[in-house]
Amino acid sequence: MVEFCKPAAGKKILELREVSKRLKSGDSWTTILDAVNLDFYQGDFCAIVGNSGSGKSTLLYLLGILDSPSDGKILLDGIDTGALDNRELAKLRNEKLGFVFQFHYILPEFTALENVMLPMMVAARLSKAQQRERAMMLLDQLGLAERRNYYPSQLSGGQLQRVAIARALANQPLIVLADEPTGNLDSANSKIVFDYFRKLNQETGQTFLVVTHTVGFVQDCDRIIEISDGKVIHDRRGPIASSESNLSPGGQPA
Amino acid sequence: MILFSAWRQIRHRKKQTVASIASVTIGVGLSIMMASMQLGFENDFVERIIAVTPHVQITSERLRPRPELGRDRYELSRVERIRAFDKPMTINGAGFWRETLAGLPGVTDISASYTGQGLISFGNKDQAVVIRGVDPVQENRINGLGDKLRLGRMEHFATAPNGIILGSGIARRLAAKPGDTVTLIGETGNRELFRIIDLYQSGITAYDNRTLFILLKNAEAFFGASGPNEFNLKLEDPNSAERVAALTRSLTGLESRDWISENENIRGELNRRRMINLGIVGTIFVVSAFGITNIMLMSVMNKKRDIAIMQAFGVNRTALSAIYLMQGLILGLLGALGGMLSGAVLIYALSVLPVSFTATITRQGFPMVWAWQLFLIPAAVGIFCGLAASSVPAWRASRFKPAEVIRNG
Repeated sequence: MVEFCKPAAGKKILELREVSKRLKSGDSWTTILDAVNLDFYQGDFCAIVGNSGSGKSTLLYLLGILDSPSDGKILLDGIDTGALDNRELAKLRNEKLGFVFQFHYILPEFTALENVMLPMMVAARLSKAQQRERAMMLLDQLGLAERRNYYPSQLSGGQLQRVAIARALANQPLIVLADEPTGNLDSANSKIVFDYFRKLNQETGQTFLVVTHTVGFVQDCDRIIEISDGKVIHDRRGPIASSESNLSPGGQPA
Repeated sequence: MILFSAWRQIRHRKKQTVASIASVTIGVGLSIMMASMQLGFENDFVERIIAVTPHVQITSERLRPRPELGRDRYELSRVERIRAFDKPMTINGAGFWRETLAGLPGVTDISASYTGQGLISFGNKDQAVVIRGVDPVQENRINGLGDKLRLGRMEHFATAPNGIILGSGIARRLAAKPGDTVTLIGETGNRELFRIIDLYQSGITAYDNRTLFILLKNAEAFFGASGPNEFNLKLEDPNSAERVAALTRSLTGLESRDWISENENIRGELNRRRMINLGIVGTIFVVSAFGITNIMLMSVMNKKRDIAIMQAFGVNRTALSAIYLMQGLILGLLGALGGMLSGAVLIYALSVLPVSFTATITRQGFPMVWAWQLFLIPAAVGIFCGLAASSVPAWRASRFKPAEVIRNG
């Protein structure tokens, strides 16, 4: 039975209405997400969990308007994203969303500092000096101030993921979407990432939607959405018991 | 952001960037060099032609026979023609025409001359020649006769009583040298002795092998003519020769030849060469453009995850395309700069290279031309080439679906 979450106190910032996603494989169509309805509120700190192939990453890409639904509507901060063209969608992503993926995808031709500055350069709201100052501040918060002028090839995996996080936060997004952000990190780096997300969530009220398999991460989230076979099977606030989830204690799918 | 990103990307893939720039550089450099050489040869050819032939030459040959007024005049007319044949044809009213022609717009100089056929004899050798009777001062103004004399004895030629200047080819065939005395034999068998003052070398072998110069008054006496049979015009703009010739034809009723029409066949050959060069250069540019497209497409495919992440943080499709177009533009610009530099080096190297041609035209080194158009046009083509080559990668980069790329790695 689907358990729906009670609204949080914050403003509704993201809505999914009867959202489906079908992908063509060969001659047939496969339903990845099936008529999903979800609401997200400002300040949500939400884990999206589910088996591999359950549709959770697809859900995240739809939430991040990186992909468009086959059916249904997605409203981001009250804006119907289906009515926007490519340019407007890109602007919306730049202004309101921040992405962190399992692989850092740090652009190799830029330094750590420049990578963090890139979304700000796209937005062009701040002066060059302000962009630099903010990027340095973010890197400093993530313990990378000393390495700001390093190129990606000179940084470790954990450092690169922290640069990616700083880049995701560059434009002070309304929502941070993370797909397995700690999937390639050791426990120490995972903790740094989680603690930083939590701190930001509490201090700035930014919304975090995190697809994860890491138990520690899931257990400390305020809201957990579980997806199975393209449907939301659990959506509730409060910690989830490991026996209820499909997670192994080591943080990997069972 | 676009320029910054484009510059960083091309700086990051150094080897491919160097290869792309080199391909444009080669295209631009070679086109500059080939265009310079082509123009150099053309100009050289024109200069040499102009140097030995007047821009426009008005001859004594009438375009139409004089109008016949009636049958009873027919016999008389025939008689007149026979008479005219017996007596060398000259330009009637030479003084009047000389003044009229000199006053035509665009005419900067005029000379009168008498040209006829004859034989030259030296030792036991004879040769058919074109005998040109000239006024040394006037002729020098029209085609720089003095500059083409081996010993530079122009003044001596003007004052010597029976001086002759032989084309260098004639002197070689007869084994004659300055100071020797040669015999000129006219059409009627008349003979006259001349002393070789100097040798003439225009660089155009056909001319140097057949033409000799004597003073106009000597020529008139030798041919028994009462005046010149040619007027030679020098024009302000040599390219207006056809127009001026048409004007003098209608004005005088006399045959007028211009250097452009007289050398039409060679100009056709030059144009053909120009087309061949254009084809070669075009092929080089197409090959380099394909090279750049290939390199950039590889880069786009290798960077598709980076492109997807750029889309994720808000770079739109137009900006993504612009980043790759900017890369093409930068590669084209750098290639064009390199090409202009290498083109300049090639032009200089070829212009000082000691090379001699022994065909129709003889000269030392390649006749290269320096002109800003020679640099700017290939450079513009090189830049366009870089830009055009990047259009396919730019389009490809803007077509990625970020979710698909990230999902599939």
